[in-house]
Amino acid sequence: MTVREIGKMLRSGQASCVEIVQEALRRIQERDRYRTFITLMAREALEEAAKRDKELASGIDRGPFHGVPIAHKDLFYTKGVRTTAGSLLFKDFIPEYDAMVVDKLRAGGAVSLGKLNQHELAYGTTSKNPHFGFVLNPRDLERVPGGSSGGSGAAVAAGFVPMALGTDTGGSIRIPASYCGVAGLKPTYGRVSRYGVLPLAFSLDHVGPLGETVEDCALAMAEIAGPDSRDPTSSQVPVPNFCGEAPARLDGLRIGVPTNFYFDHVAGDVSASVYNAIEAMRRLGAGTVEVRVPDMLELNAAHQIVQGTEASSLYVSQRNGSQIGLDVWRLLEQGRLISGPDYVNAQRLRTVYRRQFDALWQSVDVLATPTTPIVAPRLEQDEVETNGYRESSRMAATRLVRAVNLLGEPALSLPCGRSVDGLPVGLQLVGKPFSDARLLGIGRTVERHLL
Amino acid sequence: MPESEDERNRAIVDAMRLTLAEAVGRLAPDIEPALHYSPVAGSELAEESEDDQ
Repeated sequence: MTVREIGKMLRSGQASCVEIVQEALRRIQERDRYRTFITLMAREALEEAAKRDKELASGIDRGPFHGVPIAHKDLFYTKGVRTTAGSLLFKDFIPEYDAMVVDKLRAGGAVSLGKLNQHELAYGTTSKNPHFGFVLNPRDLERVPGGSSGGSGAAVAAGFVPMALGTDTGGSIRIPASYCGVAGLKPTYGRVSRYGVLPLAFSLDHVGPLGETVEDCALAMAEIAGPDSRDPTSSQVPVPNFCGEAPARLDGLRIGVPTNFYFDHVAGDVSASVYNAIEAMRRLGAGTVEVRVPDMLELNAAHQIVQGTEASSLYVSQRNGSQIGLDVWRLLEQGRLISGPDYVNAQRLRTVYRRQFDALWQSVDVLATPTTPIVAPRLEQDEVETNGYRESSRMAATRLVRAVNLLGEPALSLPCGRSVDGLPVGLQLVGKPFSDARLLGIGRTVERHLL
Repeated sequence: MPESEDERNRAIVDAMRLTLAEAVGRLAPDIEPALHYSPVAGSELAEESEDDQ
């Protein structure tokens, strides 16, 4: 059920907040073989739901999320509730305050069911967590849900919650959205506060929603977007209306379809679904423009250098990997090998590519690409081959998504079809900075016509 | 002989650094001379110290 559907049930008296939350908890306790939760907050959630019921009965309605069950990736600070980041390093960490976004969603009436499993330290794409269990993909239990926000994607796909918060440093919202067949938005850098969020790479980290539908993401953005004096990177750009009517048609929209990079080494059934979605957008009145994008391999290398350096700087005191999974430890070791001049040059390149992308936005409104070149890999699959091109599953997952983190543009992933094996395929729509609301509006229109 | 963990990590980082070095070499004329960062951006202290002079 979507946020709106739950809201209708509550306001029509079909169910109370307590009943909605009880039912969500029952489903999780009976069916969570996907290992989506690290901490389930059943008692707290039921107490919160009872308060929301009393409010509704006395005429207080906090808005679309009033009484709606949600959940948070386990790196959002929650006052008095353990926040692990999926790591033994934080196994006993109990924050003394809430993250800004946790606070805002609670103020909007949402009821948190708990903290979601993830890739350790948000540094990976599989969510095969060695400490809290491998998260499984509800679409196929033998496959990964993607990561690092794997528990968020899986919890939404399993129908436990209509919306869950995630973070995205190199695709960590969009990859699980693609693999699990749900919607996910990496907002513009600075659009959502990161206060009280355990960082991975401070100049690349973004907070955003994963939702059953694009509208669920839009409703979440209306709650969490905005400036925050406690986050120096948060933007003062005025917050738009995220929840206006989705356009009936897409007349006048200029869709950029890349002729280089984005459709190279992409599985045939994935590119077919994405082209089919682009064709659906054309039928709704949009025009397509073939575009050549800047050198994304260089952008990806610059991203890896910035991410590697910033992440390793956080864990510089960890001199051995005894408490950290091997894959994450390797990445931290690699980050320590990057030189100062390389980091500075990678940061300088960002400004060059920023200008190149600004020029691109003169000729198109959105870029349409696959989110991931493949569907969800099998749990044991460390390497994938696409049209004769071999790479690690991690590099495949991040290949088409990580550059956008370096540039800060908003990027939305939404389901656009199925592979030959019946697995979900993700369409990525990238827009110019601070076009988040327009991107979500387009996504809602596309979603309606593809479903 | 199997590659050591350290050799493996260095090979991965070297590949990234090579791609970056090529980009820097090719784009050198367009690259800003420094990061867009001022240590006194937004600081009122900067104004005060100017007054002191």
